[in-house]
Amino acid sequence: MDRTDCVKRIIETSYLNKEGHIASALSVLDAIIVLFEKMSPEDEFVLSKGHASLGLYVVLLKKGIITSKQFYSFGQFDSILGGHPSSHKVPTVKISTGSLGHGMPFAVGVALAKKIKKENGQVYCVIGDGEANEGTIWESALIANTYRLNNLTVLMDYNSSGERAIKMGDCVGKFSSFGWKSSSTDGHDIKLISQALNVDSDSPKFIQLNTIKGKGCKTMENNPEWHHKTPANDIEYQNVIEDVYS
Amino acid sequence: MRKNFYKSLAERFKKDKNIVVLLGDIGVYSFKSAFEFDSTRIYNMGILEQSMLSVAAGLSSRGFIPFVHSIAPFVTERCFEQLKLDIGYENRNVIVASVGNSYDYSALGVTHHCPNDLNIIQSIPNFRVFCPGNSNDVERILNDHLYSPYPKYIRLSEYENNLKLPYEDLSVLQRHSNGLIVVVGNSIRNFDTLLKSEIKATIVYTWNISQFDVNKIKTILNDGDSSVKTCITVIEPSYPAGIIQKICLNVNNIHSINSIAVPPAFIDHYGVKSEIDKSLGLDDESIIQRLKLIYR
Repeated sequence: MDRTDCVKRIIETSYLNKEGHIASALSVLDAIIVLFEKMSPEDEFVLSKGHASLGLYVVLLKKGIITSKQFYSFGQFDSILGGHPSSHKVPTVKISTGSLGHGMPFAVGVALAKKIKKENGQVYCVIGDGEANEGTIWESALIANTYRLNNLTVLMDYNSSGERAIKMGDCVGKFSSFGWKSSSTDGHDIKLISQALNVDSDSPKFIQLNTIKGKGCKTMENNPEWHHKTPANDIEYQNVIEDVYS
Repeated sequence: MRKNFYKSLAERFKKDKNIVVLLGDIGVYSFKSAFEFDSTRIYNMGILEQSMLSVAAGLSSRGFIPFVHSIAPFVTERCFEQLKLDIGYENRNVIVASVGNSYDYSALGVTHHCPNDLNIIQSIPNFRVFCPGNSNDVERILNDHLYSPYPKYIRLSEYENNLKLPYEDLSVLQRHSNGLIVVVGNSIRNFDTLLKSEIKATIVYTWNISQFDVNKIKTILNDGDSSVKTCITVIEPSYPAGIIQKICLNVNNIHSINSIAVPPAFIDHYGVKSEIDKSLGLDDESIIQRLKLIYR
């Protein structure tokens, strides 16, 4: 999948529709690309950090699951694509996320259901480091280990959003102490993400993806101003598009 | 009511492999036979109510029918957003069965009181809210609604009323042309005393809060002389939960309307439930005295 084209399209629809958490979409993009290449029909995906929705939508576009018209209607009144994904509207989405800390316990429920039914397949859930401030992340971590849900993999988009408030520190150590098989890798290296996903485990699996908020657009990288901002005018749009690199 | 609910649920659990039970660290011993029957479908989830509800939503998304059971404030007020988004907005068939009915846990104090649960859950679109007064009502609710594709809230109590027969969700217990009394759930414990007290009003009984049948109320009132203005009283074991509003918006010729319900104030006493009932004027005797004054 052409990452640079994905980045440009995310910025484009965000500019056209004056909505979107572009920087978070870009930090999580590589993980979503890898997952949608890897997942089988038996697997489930939950984007718990729903504000990174554009990262999901652009992958759905590239996979032909949504149309270009739908992608560029992002955030419009009749669009199926909102700033946060709705399960009622977006193909593949099973829970409407946006309020943080809901997707991971939901994913635990899905993994538990698959265990009860003795179904194959993994449940993949993407959370953020800022989201990990929420108590439900750690409640879910307890539940998943208690019931040994080795069909659950949680990927943390560690883009350091939490640094401006409550820092999460060593999440690999934290999840390990909750009994999870935990690892850390470069969240923008597709090969390393794939390798981390392929590790077998008897326990639930946690992968900390070390990422850069706004990755792929120099203006936006690690720039808090771009957390929830779209280009203000044509000049700014052209500037950020020129800043996109492969 | 709670113990009979446990028995009923355990039987349903054994018959229907789609039922999953999530317990908030209460009732565990009572479900011993269910744990022995199939421990993969019943879990003591401990003290993490928010996540317990989201887990239930995840189970529901895969075709299970989860029952979530805990003490009322913890499974309603504490996790309102999970109820609203993961279950309400997603319109999941999850059954939330609380226990504690306003101030059943009287001696445990304000932290364990929850008189506002019916309002809280009713404010969430898609949820059906039930306030059964006895075990027959609970059975009726489960029989009629268990497999319906919407979320449900069932408010269980340690205390039953003494109605013996299974009643419909809105039943006439007594007819009189002089007014109307709506009794909700277990707000009256001994109906024999109420019905023998010669109060000159039609008395109806209901346990269906969110689908309260106001059209049936209109029919009941119009069976009498519709030109006579009606005095209406609603008796509830909780904060007023919207029934009065529905009546006021839909029924003409109301002369006066009265609410007998838990007042919106913290109950900073302990003791047994009957003591708090009496202090609030919500014991049967006090309620009947008030009704006699209203309908004299």
